[in-house]
Amino acid sequence: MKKHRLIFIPALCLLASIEGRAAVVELDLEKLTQRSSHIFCGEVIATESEWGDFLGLGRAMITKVRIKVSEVWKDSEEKRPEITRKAKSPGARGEIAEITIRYLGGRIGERWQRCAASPTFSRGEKVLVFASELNNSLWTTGWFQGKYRLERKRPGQGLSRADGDDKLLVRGSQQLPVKKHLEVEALRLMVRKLLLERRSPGRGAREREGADR
Amino acid sequence: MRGSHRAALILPLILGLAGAIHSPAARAFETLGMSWRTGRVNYRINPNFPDQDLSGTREQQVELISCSAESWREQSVADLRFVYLGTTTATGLNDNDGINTVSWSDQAGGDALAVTLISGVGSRIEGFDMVLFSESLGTANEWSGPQDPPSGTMDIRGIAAHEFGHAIGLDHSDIRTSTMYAAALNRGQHLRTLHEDDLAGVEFLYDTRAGASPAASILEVEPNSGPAAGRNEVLIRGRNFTWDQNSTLYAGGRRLSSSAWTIEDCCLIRVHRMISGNAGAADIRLTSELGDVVLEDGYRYLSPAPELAAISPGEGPVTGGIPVTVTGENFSSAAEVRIGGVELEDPVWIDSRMIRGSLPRRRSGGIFDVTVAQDGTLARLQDAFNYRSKVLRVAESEGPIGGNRIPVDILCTSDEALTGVSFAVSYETSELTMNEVSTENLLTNEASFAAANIDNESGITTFGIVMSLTDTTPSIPAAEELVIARLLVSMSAELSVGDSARVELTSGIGSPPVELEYTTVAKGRVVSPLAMHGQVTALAGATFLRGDSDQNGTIQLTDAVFLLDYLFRGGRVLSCEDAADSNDDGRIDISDGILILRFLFSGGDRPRMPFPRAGMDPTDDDLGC
Repeated sequence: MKKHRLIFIPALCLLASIEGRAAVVELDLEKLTQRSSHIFCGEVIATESEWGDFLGLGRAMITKVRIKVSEVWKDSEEKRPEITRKAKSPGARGEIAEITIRYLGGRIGERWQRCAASPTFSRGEKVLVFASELNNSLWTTGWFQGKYRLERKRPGQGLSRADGDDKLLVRGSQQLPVKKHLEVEALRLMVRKLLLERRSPGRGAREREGADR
Repeated sequence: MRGSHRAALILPLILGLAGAIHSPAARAFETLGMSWRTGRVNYRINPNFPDQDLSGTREQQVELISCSAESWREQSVADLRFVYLGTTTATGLNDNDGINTVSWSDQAGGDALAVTLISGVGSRIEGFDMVLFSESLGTANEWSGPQDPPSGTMDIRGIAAHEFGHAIGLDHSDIRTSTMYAAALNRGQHLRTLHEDDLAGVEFLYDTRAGASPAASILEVEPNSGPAAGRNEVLIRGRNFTWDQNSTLYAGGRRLSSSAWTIEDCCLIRVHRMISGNAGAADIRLTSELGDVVLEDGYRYLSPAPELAAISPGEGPVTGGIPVTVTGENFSSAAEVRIGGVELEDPVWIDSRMIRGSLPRRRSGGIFDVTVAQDGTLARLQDAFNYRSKVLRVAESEGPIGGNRIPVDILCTSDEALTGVSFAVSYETSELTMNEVSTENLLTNEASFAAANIDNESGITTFGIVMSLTDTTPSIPAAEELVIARLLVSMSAELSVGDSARVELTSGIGSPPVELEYTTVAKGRVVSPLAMHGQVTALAGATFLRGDSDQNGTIQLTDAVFLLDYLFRGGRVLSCEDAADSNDDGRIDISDGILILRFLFSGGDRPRMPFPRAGMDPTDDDLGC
């Protein structure tokens, strides 16, 4: 039996083409935008890991990330317990003040769990988040693809200016739908355009069409 | 049997080589910062993919998944073993079941095709579970098994190989053709062969290969500045941080205690309490098993907020140039001192309590704030400095020990025209004797009244000048440092070289007492100018003014006449031959007189140095003085 497997394993290794092998479905900005129920900028004010159930797959560490929201690019009518809104007149929907999102993994005491597909957040971090529902709560859309760090940088300079008069940049990456560093304002306009286009007929018929998988 | 096995191994190797040839040379692999302690990874497989036509039989599913695990050992030289312990019925992500499982789930994974959750303590991975989802992005995933995967299906072998990479501690790579690249691609058979970058990653984690170190780096520090006293929280972001027990972190060359910081994950170090440091830029350095990683000038220690106590003197001339000292607390070497908004010239940081410099000039007088700015903080001393627009100053002079009629100029600065000036100077009679107060060749020579009262017994000389007794003209114009009088003094032979004899402008001395006053043309106001004392420094040799043959302190026609009389009439005695040698050629002849006449009347060359102020002879010749 052992001999048989020694032969069989390499044989399987030689089988022809395999499509895709990665952990996540690659999203582009359009899909990321359309799939997200909430898109917002803010600052991480707290993180807390706890044991919980993930998709009915068992007990895992899930980290709750509280984000103080400074700017909302996309919102939804849906009432959610993880969204705190500013008080407004009765019947009117207030602006989002704070959102709690979750990711798989975390640290409780000495013990940690880590999922490479999950983004990580740290207190004080300024972020742009594309969020959608997963596991009965808000998660980053496309796992790590839905989280971006925001940085104040002057072109070509490492240090932030004390007067805060720097450009606010979204840190992009080749592995993310936003491939390059972009000014927040530029990305906001791109997202806004995508959201407006979404309303016109004939678009978004099949989101998965054109995906690599 | 052995031959076929070898052949089966050669082909993947060829594919691997081909992949290596086409792959970029740069290493991009990243670690999650932890690894299995022994390099032995036990696991079980739940071969529960439901569509056995596509996914293969249970046995084939086991072989496919085992194959993907084995690829990490077979294609590399890493000291790593995946040990298959058999099948299991366990599914999902159960950290506490003690089984490392690979299973299929009928759940939708959002936008994920599969996830691997690793768990552990410190830098040690102790377990993992891998789940391949039935649905992603709202569409069913068709998991393909032993056959050539049809288009649009998910390859169990490829996805599992990627996920096993996470299970052993690898993060996503930036290289699109690597197994550890995060997102899905249509890349055919590249998928089953580990990329050079993947191999470098696993061999780094489990059998360090020369040159295989990941590109560990510190990318940024947030915030990038903090108090010099430290104790603030700082985040250090980078790549491939590892929980190496020997890791040490330095800021500005000072080592942080291990309890002051934590590596939170592969890309984040949280410094709970920053170490203190000297104000200024500091390198952030992390040493670990990956070697040294430095972010030069990655952090800036800010000085504590400066405190301003005083500026001395508290007043000065609009012409600037006088030394001033600013005192206070917490001054850094980067501190910027401003007086009335103008930066202190030639500042010298003495210590955290004192900065010295030269007073900058201003266009107009007034009372101004003094500020010290550093590292974004500002200290202000309100109304601390008085820029005076009316100043009377004794010029710094020098003269030979025992010398006579050494000129000492009295300089007047005023922002408005003056009709009269009075002053008194005092000096030590053992050092100086006043010979005369002269206005010869000065604008004030036109004055209606000018008189000096010299009292060399008490060392006080008073002087008064009124430009016009009846009208507003002539006047002393608004100007800076206009010479209105010239003291001619004798220096005591008792002084030594380098001694200074002080000449002080003092109000209310003399007999009768004379005030230090300006009388303005406009409305005849009487104003007390700022008095600035001077001194005469004793020199070894004689000083003279080139061309001043008659030794009256100025260059004029009489000097040429005096020289010609000396040369051709024999009626004069030269008291200073060097002064008469106008062209400094070491001889006294008619050319010296011609130079003076041409200079005065036809725009000819000026006399050689020392000119236009008295000084020592710069050339060595036989002439004396």
